Amino acid sequence: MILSTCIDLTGDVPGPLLMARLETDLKARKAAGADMLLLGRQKGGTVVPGRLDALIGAPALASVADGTPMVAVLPALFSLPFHVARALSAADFLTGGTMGWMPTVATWQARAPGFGADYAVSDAEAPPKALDMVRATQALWDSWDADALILDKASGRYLDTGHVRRVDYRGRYFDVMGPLNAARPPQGYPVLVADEADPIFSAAGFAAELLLVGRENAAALSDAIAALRAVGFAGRILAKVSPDDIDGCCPITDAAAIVGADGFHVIAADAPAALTQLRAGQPSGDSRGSLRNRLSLAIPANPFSTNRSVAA
Amino acid sequence: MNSPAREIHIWAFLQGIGFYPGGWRHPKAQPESVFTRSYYEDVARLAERGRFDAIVFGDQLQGRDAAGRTPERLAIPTLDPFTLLAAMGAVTEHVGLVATVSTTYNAPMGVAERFASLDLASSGRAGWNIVTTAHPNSAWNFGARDLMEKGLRYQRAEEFVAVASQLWDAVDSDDPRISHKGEWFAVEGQLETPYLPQGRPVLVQAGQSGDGRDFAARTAEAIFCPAPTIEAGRAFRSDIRDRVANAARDPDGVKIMPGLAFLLADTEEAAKRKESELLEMADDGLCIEYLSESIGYDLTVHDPNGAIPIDDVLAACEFPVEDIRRMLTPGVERNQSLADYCRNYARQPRGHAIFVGTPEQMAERMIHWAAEGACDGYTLQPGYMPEELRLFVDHVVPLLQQHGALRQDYTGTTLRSNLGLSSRR
Repeated sequence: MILSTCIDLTGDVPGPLLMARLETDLKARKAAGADMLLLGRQKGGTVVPGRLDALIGAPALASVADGTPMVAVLPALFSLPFHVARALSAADFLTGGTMGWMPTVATWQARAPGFGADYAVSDAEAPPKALDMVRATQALWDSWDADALILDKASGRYLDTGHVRRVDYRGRYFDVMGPLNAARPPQGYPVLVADEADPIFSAAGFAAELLLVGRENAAALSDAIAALRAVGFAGRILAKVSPDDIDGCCPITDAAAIVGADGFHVIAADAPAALTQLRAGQPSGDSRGSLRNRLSLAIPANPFSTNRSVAA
Repeated sequence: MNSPAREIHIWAFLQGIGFYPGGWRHPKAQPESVFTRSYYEDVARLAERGRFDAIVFGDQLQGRDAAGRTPERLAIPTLDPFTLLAAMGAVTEHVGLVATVSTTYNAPMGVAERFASLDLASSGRAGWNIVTTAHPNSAWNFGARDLMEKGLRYQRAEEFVAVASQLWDAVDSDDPRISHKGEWFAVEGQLETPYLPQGRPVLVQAGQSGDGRDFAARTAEAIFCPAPTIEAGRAFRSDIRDRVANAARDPDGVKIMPGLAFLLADTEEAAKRKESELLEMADDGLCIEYLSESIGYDLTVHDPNGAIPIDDVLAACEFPVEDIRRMLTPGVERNQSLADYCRNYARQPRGHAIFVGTPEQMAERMIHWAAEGACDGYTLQPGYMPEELRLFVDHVVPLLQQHGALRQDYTGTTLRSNLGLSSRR
């Protein structure tokens, strides 16, 4: 059983003691049995980007997290593939392959005028543009093979140039040439996380590896999960549960009645207490290795590597 | 060195494995550890132990490849600098964190938020080295067809920094929203970040051209520059101070921090030996790849012992042809082989001063240049990492401190206070 919850990076009382507070919050969630932490803000039943950039928050918390997987919740429409690909490659290296990322669309309208015309899209274009950002980012990770680095001082070969290439990704919204100036992340790609309620999930072809699903009760949740499986959703599914009164969210007391979930995403004012309640008597998930390993998710194939070995 | 020396500021410029392109092959270099968190944590603690004002990373927005071929013998410059600085800030309390970020391939809101986030997460230690990005391949990583012309890039940068500054300043005011409509940007909104301990990050610039110097004089609080000789340093510093005064700002509010690469040993002979060993580690293959990267043309397909293939290069290179012609012509006229030319190129420092000698000599040189008005401090580039940084901290820092040129202990907690810059709060 996998347990996740959010950690809001600024909360309502920022200031000099911010990092100390985050350290306390993080340790309390970990001790209460959280398997992973979403660096984002819970807005009702939905997870949205927090007020501190998660691509700064993740490395800033890496030493305290010390192996507890973190998921960077990002505003997909204000993110550029080259920057995101590189930052997440670095974060995945620094955290020993325990990063996930969660590009979101939900709150973009409110912020769009702040980013200006270059970033403006219509409502209908928002999900496909977010998906294009994800694909361009993944293409940049594919510009390096996992075994590109050699680091042999004696021969002077740092890498194998046959394992690094320009990818020339051309999408509807993003064109990126590559190669990325960062090696392929240890996990291949950091784990792609989404909230079923976020518009990005509606983009045709979007393939989340870990999905948060929310419904008002256990029966509706079980049906929704069965429906997702019926249409071939192959990733892990976490059911959203809460001890608080949140619209459209299953009460935590009904968690045991939910069928088909791989675990729970906890929404709670007192997250440690709710996590402790769910963890009681339940075995914890695998807490070693990469996040992929803990979630039993395969390392994504690199289409360029595959083609090369077929040709060889 | 009898009277107390002028106070010197020091930055640690930590690009990848160090200054020398072959440095990753040094027996004491740790090329595999630059992919691990513990390496960066150790280096950050080391810089703080050495009372550095800040850790600085340069940046590129393209791979190292020349015409699609990535060099085999050159190290990756570094992991994403912003990510590294955030991780390094988490294990330190005083040392500043200066990230290089482009105004050409970003939005003001996004950049303002990232620096605000770094400033908040580090309790007031963020600095921004403002660059406009000159490499043509960068444009192709951001969907642009061509590199923007330099004059335009600076115009955009100026408005970009003004908008970002408005956003930071508004965070503390009654109405955090800004409404800006200019030549380049229309911004209606506010930062999500609730608080910046420094008010604004420290603004750093490195432009060398007239445009760049004027931009720096109007915006920068610290300047990273090359100064190969003490005269060059003095000329640059006095030119910038004039421009700063002309921009109605206080020249003392702008710190001039020229680059200084270094290799240290107990004796001068040993240091020189170390340098020749490091230069040898840049073999012909590496040097040819190094020049290939610099001109955007893959030279590895040519015979290293043959002539410099200038016609092929000019027909196909991805950089402005006239710049490349000017660069290669002297070698062609001397009938240098490709390998000879590349070896010279990779081994000659371009612009930055290199110090090779003992800790005593280095401390004396640093104090002397500052006393002569050639700089306010140094952007120090260890020859290879982490060994040379450790030697500097253990052996040069105590000497600087004895002479009163470097703080014994940090007095403030923010980067602004370390640099003696005015508070923005």
